[in-house]
Amino acid sequence: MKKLDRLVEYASRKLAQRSSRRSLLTGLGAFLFGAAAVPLLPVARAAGESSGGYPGVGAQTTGRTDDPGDPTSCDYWRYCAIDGYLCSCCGGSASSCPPGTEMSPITWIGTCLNPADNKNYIISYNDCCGSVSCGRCFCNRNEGDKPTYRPQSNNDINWCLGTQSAVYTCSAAVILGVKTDQ
Amino acid sequence: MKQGFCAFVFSILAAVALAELPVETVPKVEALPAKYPDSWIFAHDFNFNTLIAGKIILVDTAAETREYKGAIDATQFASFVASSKNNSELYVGDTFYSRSTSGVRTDVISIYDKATLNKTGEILLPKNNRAQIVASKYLLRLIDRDRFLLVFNFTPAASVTVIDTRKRMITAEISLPGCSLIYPTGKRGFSSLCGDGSFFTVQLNRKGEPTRRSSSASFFSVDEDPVFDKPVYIGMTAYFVSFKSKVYEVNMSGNEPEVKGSWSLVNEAQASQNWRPSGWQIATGDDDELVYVVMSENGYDGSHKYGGEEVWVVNVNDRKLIQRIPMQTPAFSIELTSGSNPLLIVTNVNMLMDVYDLDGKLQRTLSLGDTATPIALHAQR
Repeated sequence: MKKLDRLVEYASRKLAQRSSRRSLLTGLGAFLFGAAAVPLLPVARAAGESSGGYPGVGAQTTGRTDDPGDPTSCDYWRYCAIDGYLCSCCGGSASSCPPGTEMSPITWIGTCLNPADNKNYIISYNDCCGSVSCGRCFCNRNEGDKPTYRPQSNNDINWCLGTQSAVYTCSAAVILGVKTDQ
Repeated sequence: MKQGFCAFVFSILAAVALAELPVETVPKVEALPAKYPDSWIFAHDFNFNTLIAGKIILVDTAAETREYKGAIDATQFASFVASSKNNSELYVGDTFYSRSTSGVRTDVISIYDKATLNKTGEILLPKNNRAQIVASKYLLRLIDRDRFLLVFNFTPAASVTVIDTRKRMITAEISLPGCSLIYPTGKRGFSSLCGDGSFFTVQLNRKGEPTRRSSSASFFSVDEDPVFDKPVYIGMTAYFVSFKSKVYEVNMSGNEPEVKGSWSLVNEAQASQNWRPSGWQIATGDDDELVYVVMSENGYDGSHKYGGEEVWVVNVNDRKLIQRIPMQTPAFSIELTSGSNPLLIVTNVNMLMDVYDLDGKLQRTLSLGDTATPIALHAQR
């Protein structure tokens, strides 16, 4: 499910409500989500201030120095084209679904730079499906995202396809391999 | 005794005062006019928090009071289209499960009446292949003066189902060769945008059956500068805006789309500041010659869905930028109300609805619900 374009905005809004930040700044943070602007984004800012990427969400690590960052934070490197609730915050992980859900076999694909080895990785965004939206850690980033006429690169589509239920729960970001044309 | 008399008088007075409020009858349910004022729009609350329970909210954007007129359900990545002003029906593409989130899936087109907002019927979509994509106008369209309803399907095999609204029956399902969404074209047809930057176009006969299929040449680079898949129609001319601010003017009135040319929304200086379109429903238009686009400075790869701090107004006749409207809160989706005195309706990035006049003055801000995410806006046609 990805798609939730306005997800970032919505997450930002919720964060703004909690942190009393001015809404304009929230908006600016939301639409300036780039390397240089990360500090403006409430989500990113929260990551630096609390134990996790989102208020009330415990921080995680992958346990590997070559897979850096917090999988419960929207700025985790694998999430460069994600759109939805982070499964890491919902009982799953960056690459697995929460118990009681089903992972979609059909996905959209992004290419994300791992800052640890400076290599581009092909990331498969697998939706987890079958129970209501997790509602935790909404994250929307769109590097390389294309409109629906290039569906395999589009995160607005509900990718709960080929599953028993098309009801969207959260999104995982699975490494498929290193991009070879680098 | 004196005290008792006072109490007696007071109770009489109180009774008289109470009697001034008439007895109210139950049940009582409000009704709406059969034809809505121009200032009323439909806001599709996609309800990202609980996608299985969205809704279409009817809003009087010009009202100072009682602006929320009512709502109809729009379930599980629903799609929506309203009939034109002279017709009475509303259509919602819904998906239901027999056990809410599991069980047997049923896809339908639900039909509602404008005056009552009651459900008046439904059309079963037997293949359960309705596309579930974040709400936009081009998932569900009416053509041929509302006679045929077109439903976009995605499984990920793409197709369009044609429904005769008068007979309430499916007349055809047309496979698309890797193409997406529904852009009305010609007298009784539609186009879709394809993965190579071309159009695939189908025309229908009076029975709603396909008679003519055609493919255009590619007219933009999907890799270098893709167009947003949400164009603006002024009459039967569609304006497709690209990620990097190019506008393609396409005549959709014939049997096939005809690309009339392109120009840039930005001059050299603005391009160097990376002013780009950004948001969800990023553009709208009036009935004559003005296209409105949500714009954001410092754009980059991936910034195209975050919203923008200005709305730019372009006259399509001379392709000149005539107005820049600063947003009080960055805009996410925009729509002009219909009629001769339109208002600019903005769903801002905080998911509140801002109503601007065309001078760019903020008239009011509306909440459509504490957790509402009204990202698709539909003016009356």
